[in-house]
Amino acid sequence: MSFVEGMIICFIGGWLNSYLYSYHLKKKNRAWIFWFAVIWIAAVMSLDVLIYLNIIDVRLILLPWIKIPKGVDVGRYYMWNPGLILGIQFKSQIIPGTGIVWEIWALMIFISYIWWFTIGQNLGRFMYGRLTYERGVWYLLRSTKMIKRSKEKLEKKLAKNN
Amino acid sequence: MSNDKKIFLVDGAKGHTGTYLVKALLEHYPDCKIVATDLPTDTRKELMTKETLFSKQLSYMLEILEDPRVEFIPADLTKPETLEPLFDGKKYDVIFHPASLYDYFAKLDILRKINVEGTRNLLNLVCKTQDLNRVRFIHWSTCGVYGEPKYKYDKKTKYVIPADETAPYNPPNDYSISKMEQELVVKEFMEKHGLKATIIRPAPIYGPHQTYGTYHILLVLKVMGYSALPLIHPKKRRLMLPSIHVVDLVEAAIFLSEKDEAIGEAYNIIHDLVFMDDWIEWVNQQLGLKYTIISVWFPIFKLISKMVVWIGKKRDKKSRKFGMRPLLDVPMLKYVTHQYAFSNKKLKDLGYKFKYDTWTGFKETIDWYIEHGWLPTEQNGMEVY
Repeated sequence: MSFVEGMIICFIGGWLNSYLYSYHLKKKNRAWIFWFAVIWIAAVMSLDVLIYLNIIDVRLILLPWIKIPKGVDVGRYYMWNPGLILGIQFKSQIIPGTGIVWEIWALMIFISYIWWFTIGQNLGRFMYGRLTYERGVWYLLRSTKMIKRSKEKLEKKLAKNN
Repeated sequence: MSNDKKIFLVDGAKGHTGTYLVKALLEHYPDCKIVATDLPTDTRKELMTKETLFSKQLSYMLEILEDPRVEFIPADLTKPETLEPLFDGKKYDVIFHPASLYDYFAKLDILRKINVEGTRNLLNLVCKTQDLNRVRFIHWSTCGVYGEPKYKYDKKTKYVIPADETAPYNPPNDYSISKMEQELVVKEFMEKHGLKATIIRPAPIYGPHQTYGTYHILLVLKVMGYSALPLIHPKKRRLMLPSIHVVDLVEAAIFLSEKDEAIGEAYNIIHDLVFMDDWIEWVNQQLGLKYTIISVWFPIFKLISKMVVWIGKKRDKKSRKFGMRPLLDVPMLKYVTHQYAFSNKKLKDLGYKFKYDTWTGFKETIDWYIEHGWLPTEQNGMEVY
């Protein structure tokens, strides 16, 4: 993954966390929302740091037609250029330099993964609710078919409890 | 308080307003006798699907009908023969007629059958059996009969001037059409038979135990947990919130039944208006919800409102196809997207003093809903579909 894809995956992770929390996790254990966040961010960040530091050789997971210019640091080149893993090679490419400024930028982007996760999570909460009984904006946006299904499910549950 | 041994007839007595009316009458006239009527239980359950939309456990203050001063006689307005026992040898002082099918989802033909023809059946018997010099008839209509009138604007504040009781009929939905036609029936009996009737036009009613209308809006907001609140610009276009607490509604009805000046008149029963955006923000705070205020230019707001109503209509159609009700009926969406501003000056000029204003009334109502588990919280585990 590149930095951009890392940020997108963290955003999706945050969104997914809210969805799972709203529909599944909260009924079992509310602490799961925290552990899901820790595991997701840690996994994405570790993978990207390892790629960046060339500990994982990114060429093993690259598609064969992707050309990496000679003489560049493969891991850093890969991280700074989005789309490579999807086989997209943009005309203008970023050739990362070796100065400390590049490293500081990289560090800041890695830290921003947490922020992207939080943004995704907040939007997910807006969509699916934040407290155990909340259903978010999705409650009104659901199709009539979904509402019907949800009603039947609840009625069945109430009948069983009674 | 008066100790007159009055005799009252209250129809729709098992409904939200009906139960509050019976309670208020018993408090005002401790020695009175009340004949209360409503549909037989099974028929009522079948018809009033709105009351159990979100939960089958919600119920009104039906225990009030067990008071020894209350005689309950089931009757159906659409079947004149079932109404006769209500008038057997009884001479009423006041007949309160809140009974109606108040359901925005109901079809016009059913609404007409119950609201219009039912009222005609009732009035036929009233005129046949009652002393028309004595009996007062308090008829429940709705502010909805005005629709969205053409408003004038205050030159100083630039805000809309609320419409009074002289505004023409312009009902915007089937329910309001049936209420307009119902008013015309009452007026016909006033002219032909000299019936001493007063028409009251309540704004959307709220209050503890209420299960429809405002309750649906509060419940949906609570379940969503997050809302975006539009703040309309220019400010002179800001929407007003029409509402009335059920206690003030029944108190006003009793007050009007005691005033001879009210005979042959119509009265809006509505709190002093507040701005819709202020109210929605306040309600969000009371419900502990998160919200974002978004400034919207009025034409854009109107466009979005039209889209919301259009989507609401589509959903209504689809829900009917699936044999169910939508979460919010289309006229409920119009509450919060249209300008409904009506004046209570005529009622106030007659001397009525409101017990609640919008803020105190809604505060009490929301607290009641939460306390009684009618709105979901982390603690009560209430689930909605």
